Formats: sequence, structure tokens, C-alpha cells
Amino acid sequence: MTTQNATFSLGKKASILYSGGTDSALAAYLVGQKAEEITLLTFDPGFIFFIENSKKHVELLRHHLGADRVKHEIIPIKPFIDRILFGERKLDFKKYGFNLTALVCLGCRLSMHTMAIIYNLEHGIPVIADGSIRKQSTVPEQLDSFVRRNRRTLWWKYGIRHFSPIYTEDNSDLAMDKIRLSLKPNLKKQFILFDTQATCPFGVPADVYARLFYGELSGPAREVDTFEYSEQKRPLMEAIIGEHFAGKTPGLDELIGHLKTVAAPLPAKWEDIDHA
Amino acid sequence: MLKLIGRYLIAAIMIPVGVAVGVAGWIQNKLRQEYYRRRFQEIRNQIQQEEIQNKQS
Repeated sequence: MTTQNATFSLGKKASILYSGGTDSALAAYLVGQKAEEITLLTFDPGFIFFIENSKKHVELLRHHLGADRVKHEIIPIKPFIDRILFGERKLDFKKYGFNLTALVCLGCRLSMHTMAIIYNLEHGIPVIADGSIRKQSTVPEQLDSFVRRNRRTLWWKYGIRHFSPIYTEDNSDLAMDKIRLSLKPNLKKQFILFDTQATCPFGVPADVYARLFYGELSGPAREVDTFEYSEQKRPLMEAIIGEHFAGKTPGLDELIGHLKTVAAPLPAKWEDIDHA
Repeated sequence: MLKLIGRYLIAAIMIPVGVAVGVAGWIQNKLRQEYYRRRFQEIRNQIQQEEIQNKQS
């Protein structure tokens, strides 16, 4: 099992983008060993089913890490989805065409990141982790280039460290079994209706599209679209975050300044955080 | 049992949808391949420039 760089300390608090699936639960467990308190953030975009399933691994995580060290929040993000994912749908379809079938997951992920940034700033949490894995980099939001670029933006703009502790993991089911965190074997092999996470109606066509048609078959299309789409949505994300903190005390700049002071020092190379 | 039926029912509908849209997307990307090749190079250059600037600052 690969874990994050041993020299990278997380300090007191960290949040995890948490679906409740095998990867995010394993990531949460690893982060929980490095941080004093972890907050599992499950986002509800408004069009997924069975989001309550995300609670199933939480009890096991609390059992392993300590009940008072693991918080879990289910946060609605529909207003962000409406702006980031659906707000420019005509323009998006004109620009990306059928490739939007896969890019929809990237739009959803960017909406989640927007809420996670707000949450972390408000709660003074300098670290965001997620369960991204290279094995699933067929989908745009887990592409190596996107993960790295997004990570830099989170640090430079908001003072938040992002890392993906299981990025190089080959078999998260096996890793979960080893630490007795798995509710049942082969959870990763489930499809469509999951036992421990929500079901997304866009997930199946998006996955089929990304795996079969949006990789080698399409040349550099996926890399180009992922870059363009995330850069196009970035100003929207910044606007939403700016609007959220407008007129509030402490202001956005003060909160970012605070996070930069409490964050642990950077490793020598960005990649050392989890790509080493 | 209901869950199992639901799973295969959704799969029976959504997988063909993914394949149909995928074929359309593949044709679309073939038609745009020259644009994608050029843009990929431009983006690579832009990222390299940013890296250099960030190292300097």
C-alpha cells in the first residue's frame, strides 16, 4: 500500500472529499493517522440517489480513529452546480460537444472543490485530501495534469494544501481489507448501485464514455478539454467564493492569510506530497 | 432483489446511452483532431512558461 510522503505532516485539521466509497474511505483513514481531527465532506449536488449510504464507512472510521476525531457532514451544493455545471450549458455544448458526457463529472468536482474551499476557509482547515487514484485517470477530474494544476491553484489562491494519499494505490479493496475497514469484499467492483456511496445517474454514461472513447482513441482531446474546461470554470468558482465572503469579518484575504500561517511547510517538490 | 433488478435495468439503459454518445464523440474528435493537436501544444507551452515564471517568483 502506498501512503503519503512520511515527512509531510498535516498538523491539526484536515478535510476529505468523501463519497463513502472505498477510495475516499481509505484516503480518510490515512489522513486520520496524520491529522488530529478529520472532517469528511460529502456533497449533495441535488441529482444523486442514496446519499445516506455515505454514512456506512463513517462508523468504522470512527471506531478505528476515535469517535471525537472524525466529523462527517453532508452539504448541499446545488446552487454551485447550477452555476458551474449548468450555468453555461449552451456555450459548453457548443465548445465541447459530446465530450461533455465525461466533463460533467469535472464540473461536479469543481463545484465540490468550491464548497470545500469555503468550508476549509471558514473552519480554519489548511488541508484538503481526496481519494483520487491514477488507475481511474480515464475520467477528466482524476487526470494527473488536472490534479497537479488544481493543487497549485488551491495553495497559491487559498492557502490550502491538497493531496491525494492513495493516488498510486493499485488495489484499494485489498488495502481496506488489510486494515479491516471494508464493510464487505470487492466493494470497488460494484457498479451503478453502490452499498456505501450515492448513485449518480450521469455516472454510468460518463464512465463508459471516458473509458472507451475519450482516451487513446481521441488523441489529446481529453487533456485539452480538461484544461480548457477547468480554466473556463475557475473564474466562476472564484466569483462564488468571493460572493460568499463579501462583507463578512474576517474577510477572504484574512482567512487565506490565516491558513497560510497554520499550514505545514511544503515538501521540496509538489509531487513528493503523494506522487513520490 | 429489487436492488439487483434496478442495477441491471439502469445498466441496460445507461450503458447503451454511453456507447451511442461515445461513438458520436469519437467521430466529433476525429473531425477536430487538428485543432486538438495544435491546442495541446499551445497548452504545453503555456504551462511550461508558467512553471518558469513561478520558479522565478
